[in-house]
Amino acid sequence: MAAAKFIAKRLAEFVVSIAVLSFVVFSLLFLSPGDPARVLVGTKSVNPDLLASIRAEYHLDDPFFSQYFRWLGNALHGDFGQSIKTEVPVTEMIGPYLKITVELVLFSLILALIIGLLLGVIAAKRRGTKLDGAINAFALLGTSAPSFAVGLLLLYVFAYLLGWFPIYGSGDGGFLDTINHLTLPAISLTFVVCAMLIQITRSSMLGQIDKDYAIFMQARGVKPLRITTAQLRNASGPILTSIGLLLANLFGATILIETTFALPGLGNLLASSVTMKDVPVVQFVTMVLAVMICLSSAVVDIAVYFADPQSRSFKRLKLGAES
Amino acid sequence: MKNKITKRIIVLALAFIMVFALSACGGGSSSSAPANDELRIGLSGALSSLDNGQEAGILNYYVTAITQDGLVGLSNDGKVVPTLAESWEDEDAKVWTFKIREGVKFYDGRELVADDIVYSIERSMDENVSPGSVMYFPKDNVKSVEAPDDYTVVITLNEPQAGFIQAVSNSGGLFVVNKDFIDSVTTNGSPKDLITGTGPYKPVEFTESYLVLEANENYWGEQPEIKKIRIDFIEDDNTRLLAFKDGSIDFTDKVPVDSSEQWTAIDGASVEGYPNREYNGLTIDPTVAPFDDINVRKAVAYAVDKQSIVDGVLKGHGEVATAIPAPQQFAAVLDTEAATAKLAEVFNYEFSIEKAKEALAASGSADGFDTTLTYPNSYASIGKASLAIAETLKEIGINVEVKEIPLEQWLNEVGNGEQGIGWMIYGATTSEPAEITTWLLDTSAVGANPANWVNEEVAALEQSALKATDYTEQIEFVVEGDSIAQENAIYQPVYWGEAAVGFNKGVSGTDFNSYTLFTNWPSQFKIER
Repeated sequence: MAAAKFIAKRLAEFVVSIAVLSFVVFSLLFLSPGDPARVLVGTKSVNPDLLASIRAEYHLDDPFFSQYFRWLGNALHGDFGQSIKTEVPVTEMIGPYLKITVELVLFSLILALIIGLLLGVIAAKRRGTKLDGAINAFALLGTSAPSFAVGLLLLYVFAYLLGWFPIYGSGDGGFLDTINHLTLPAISLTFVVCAMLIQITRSSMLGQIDKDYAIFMQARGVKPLRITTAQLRNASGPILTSIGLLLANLFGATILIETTFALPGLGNLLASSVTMKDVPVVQFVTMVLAVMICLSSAVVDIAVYFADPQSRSFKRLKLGAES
Repeated sequence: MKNKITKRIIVLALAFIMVFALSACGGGSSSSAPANDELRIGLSGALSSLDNGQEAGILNYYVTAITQDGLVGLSNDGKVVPTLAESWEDEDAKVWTFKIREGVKFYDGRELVADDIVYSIERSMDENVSPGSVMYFPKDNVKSVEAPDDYTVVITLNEPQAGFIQAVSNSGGLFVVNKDFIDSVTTNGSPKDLITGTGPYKPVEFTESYLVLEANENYWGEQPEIKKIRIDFIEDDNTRLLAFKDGSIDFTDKVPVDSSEQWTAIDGASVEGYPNREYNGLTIDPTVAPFDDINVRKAVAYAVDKQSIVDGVLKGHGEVATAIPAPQQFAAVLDTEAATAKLAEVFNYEFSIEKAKEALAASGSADGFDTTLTYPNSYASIGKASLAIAETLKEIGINVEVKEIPLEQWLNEVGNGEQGIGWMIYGATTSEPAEITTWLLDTSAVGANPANWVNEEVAALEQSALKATDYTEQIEFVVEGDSIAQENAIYQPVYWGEAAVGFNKGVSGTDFNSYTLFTNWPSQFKIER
């Protein structure tokens, strides 16, 4: 019961956030200056009739609410419109872009988890030492370095000087080739987002290190790795929560990274569509990104719920008392 | 205990290095040099459609130039040359009769007939299908498009138009397609459906990040020596430079002029710069106070130090503009020297702070005033030039606030009647002498030109230029109209732009200029790896 209620509540929040977001993005695009018809023709001379006709085709002269509800009505039927720039239905064109971004984000997430947890645990275990200081400095560097600069540096060293990785593009679609092309962008992304994970792992691990159970385990001669695993498990609440934020950050940071590495992902598509004022594409891409961020944060919430022994056992006790 | 943890960490780290090393090997890096009949290009932007009527950016024209034909095309020196039309004649630039080349085949082998051309022109004139090319065919001027037989097309205009020949060029607004193909696909020009055409190359693969072209075995002209062209879209200038250094690309359409030393420093590489016929100048709107006062406009015109902008901001990669069209815009009939001489007839306010002060003192705003000058983001040179102009205007008492705004906002501001001074940036594509002035000097009504200037005399000259039966005559009208506009200080040209392309080791190009990439450009390449 409690689980069903929890999921229903999450779902309701999810639908409301998406609805609000779609409205906000639509109004921002509506308010921002510029006219897609004008952008299509650039500084060239243009016949006012032509502009009017393009505007009419995309209902750009309708009042705001009428435009928004037309979009919403169609969207609820699965019709998200077609790109003003290419005339391809947005649902059809987004596939390849989505694939790249999801691959990149997942790859970075895995790297960030490994590096973040590892460095966080080490820093906590060796708190106050030079190693701890070095890890903190590394995290600080990551937070403050602009992602495109990191990307360029990695490109220069690992792709150009050492020739280990390709400089641009997304490859031929094969698994190994994709990994090969996505490694440097994923590392750049990881570098700029994993600082938060290191810090949170470090501080929540610190909270566990002096706990009675840990000292007791140590006294009983339990293997260090088992102790660390137990501590990490008890510290997992804040860490899991931060993964939700991490994912949102990753999706945001892809925009710059994709441009640097010439990857045709959602970030790149979003940036060019905003410039073009290609409203249907911008709307759909933001919706897709929002859905993915909401979904991942929902998954994280559920994971927190089940992973934290405290909340789980408490619920079980409570449920037991009720029945 | 500490030791054990450290060991585990080292093992883990080693495992990762192995995985990366493996993946790096597995990909099979493409940097091994291909054969001499293959060209690899790093393009400075991405294409999202191969249908030039739909997406008509300058990069789209580069691809169209070698995949699809118009009735005519451009030669490397900017002259209009026969392509699908073997010959043509016009009666007073009003009735245009084209004799169609026989035996031309589309990619799929079907033979081209005059009906395909009529269909393609109708397609270009449909604003819903071809928003990017419809302006080449003003509806009120095209009376009829007919195919009396399989190899003749007759286009009748209401009013004479010498420049009409550019509309039916593939550097303008006509890309001849096979109707059967268009009917059989859902989205012409998309990665899924590609395009049809009659050019020397045909697209075989098109994705969000690259385009592969192969020689079209059915091409009507000479078979190209370069059989395969791969175009990767690499927007970021730094990334493109790395790919160039690495040898992954042979050619790039854009070397940023301010960092060209980094490109030429590469062993065996060369960079070729050329004037690109881009007009960069100030528009002074006489409907906005205080610019309705000619002395204020004159003061502004006098205070623009063009030479310093070209030397300081552009580091010499550009030319001081004394008129709206660059000399190369007249290439169809005049060489650069003759064109420069002709353009010297245009009236100019030479830079002089003294004269600027005098003009302002004679105006109704003798104490100076505040105004703003906006420029589009991503146009860094224009931004720096704006600051330079603000600096000299300050000396005469005009305070200019320079503002960077998004490109789409800037486009919307051009000619909206609210900007006293604004920039005009126009990259010409065709070789019609009047291409830019057709718009800038259309002074028949407010809103017809970006300055909102109304002047009957210039409007009449502009009409004559449009209806001129040949280009030499057209140039006379352009020069006269431009001169009047500059004397009224409506436009103050600042500089004509320069572009640069980069050739990597073993690859060279002959005679690159601002028309080359609108022609059958691979024929200009020589590859000796």
